[in-house]
Amino acid sequence: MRSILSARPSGLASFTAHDGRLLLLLGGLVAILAVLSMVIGPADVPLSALFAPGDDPTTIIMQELRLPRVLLAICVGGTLGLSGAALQGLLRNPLAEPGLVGASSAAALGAVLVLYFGLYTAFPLALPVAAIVGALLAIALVYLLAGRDPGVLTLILAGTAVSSLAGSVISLAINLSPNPHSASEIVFWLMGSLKDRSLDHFTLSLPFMAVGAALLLSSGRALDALALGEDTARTLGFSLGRVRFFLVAGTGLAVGAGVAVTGAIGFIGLVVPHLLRPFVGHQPRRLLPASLLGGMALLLAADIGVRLIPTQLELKLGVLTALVGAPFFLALVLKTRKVMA
Amino acid sequence: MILEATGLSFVRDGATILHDVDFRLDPNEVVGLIGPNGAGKTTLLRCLIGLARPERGDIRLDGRSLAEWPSRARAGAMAYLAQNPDCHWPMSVERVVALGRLPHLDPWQAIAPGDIAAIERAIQATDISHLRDRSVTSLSGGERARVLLARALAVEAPFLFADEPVAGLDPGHQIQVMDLLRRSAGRDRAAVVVLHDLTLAARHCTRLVLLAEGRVVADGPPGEVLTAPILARIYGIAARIETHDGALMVVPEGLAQVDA
Repeated sequence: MRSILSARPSGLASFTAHDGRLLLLLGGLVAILAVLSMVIGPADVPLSALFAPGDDPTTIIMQELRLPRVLLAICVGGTLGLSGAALQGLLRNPLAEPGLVGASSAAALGAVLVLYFGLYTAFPLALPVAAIVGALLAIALVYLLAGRDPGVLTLILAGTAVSSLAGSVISLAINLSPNPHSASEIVFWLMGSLKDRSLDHFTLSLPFMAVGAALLLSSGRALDALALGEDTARTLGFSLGRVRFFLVAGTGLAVGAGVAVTGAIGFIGLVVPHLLRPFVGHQPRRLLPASLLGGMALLLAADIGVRLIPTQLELKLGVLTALVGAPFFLALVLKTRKVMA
Repeated sequence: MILEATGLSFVRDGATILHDVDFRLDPNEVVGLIGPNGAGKTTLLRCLIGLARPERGDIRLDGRSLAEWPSRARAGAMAYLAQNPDCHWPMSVERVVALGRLPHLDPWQAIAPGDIAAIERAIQATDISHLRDRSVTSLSGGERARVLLARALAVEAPFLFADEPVAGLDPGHQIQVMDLLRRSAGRDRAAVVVLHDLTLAARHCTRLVLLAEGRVVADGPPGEVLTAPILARIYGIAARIETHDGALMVVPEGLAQVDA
């Protein structure tokens, strides 16, 4: 009996023992998956080609095709996981996700408009900027619609309303696109993929995603306080306006920049925090770094998946995450049905 | 530390909820805020702690206007226990209590031995150490009330404000919570408690402030505030006031007869 009692870390140890082991495990997983993602593909290229100098075809494949793909998977997956965890903390709701609150489709709308009007060729930064503005507007709109203490239904309805609004304008753009080629370009872009992205895409989106992630990661303590409700969080010294701004801006920047480069990739932000929450004691602050790493790992794995699944045309990444994520979401709704009633 | 409010008025949707209310809180007091439904008890409490901004009036904490206090310093000076408090995630009891230390931590500062000691004191005071690893959502109503009270106590603020902390609790847990609030006051700390149960208020508070229609109608020791004429006038009840072993008891017997 005594040994069981003393086995539990007590006092300071139980609070300072952070999730080192979990984060290390997730980090290791990310590293392994990144290496796998570098070596898996139609051409059999050894990892060493990445560091080889010269214009050898294998080096070009590694440096210009696979490296951007892996780097983007890490950044986009990480920010999607992180934004999901942060939004769930803000709305105190396990069903919140950047896609479900309309941010992804609004970001896609911003990007589609840029593609449609051909602004992209003249001004490459227009794509991420338009996507980020779209995502920010969507999240602000959902927050306005859902009100002070959003219930699950209000939240999802508001997100659905914003998503369908963005979706209808995207359809309009496809409908009015001058030729079938540009229409299919938009459609394929919308499905979400990491294929054929360059390092420029990565360097273009990285600053936005980094700033967004920093804003989200710095809100951990406020999210903990919000677990006790908005009033109590205020009496613990947090300004709700500031917290909301940090989270809305952070999600918009991170998701917007990600969508701008990869198209819409859904459900990562829903699945990752849900899977990791039990391992961090359900504490919103500790969920943030874990979801960052978890999102990286999941998107890397999904991107390996689309290359391994033998289909005639390569599966689009966004299609795969939706095919897996949507049933997961259904199961989650069933599980929380009692709470929703 | 002293909290002093003068001339507070609060208007919501055109209705005046508080009229020119004065309120003072000194160390070592347990002040019961009582009054009929809609008297403005909760609004006064929210104004005092900075959750609501009064239209007019001045609130000074330690001689300094409440609005001038940095939010975290203010949070460390005044703890708040909400009506029907809850935790939205199934976190462990220990972690929930630890949230009370947030006002004392700089944004990236790790929890320190002093904070752990405060958390331990709050856990011991509320007698919840056997629950510390349980998930807060798995607890009974009485247990959860104690955990969230421990969260408020862990702030170790000079002033604690509790909005109907005994609502929905059985008599045993009501007395337990009131005892805790009373014991937490003292050593230069004070508490303000919104209450509906007059006997509970009389037993556990050192001073009562009776509000009616947004005005303070009586302010003083329980024996002076809880008198038959005042209860008849404010609550419209005929009540027997008894003293038993030095403790005041209020026994409502029916509605007061309206005098012609």
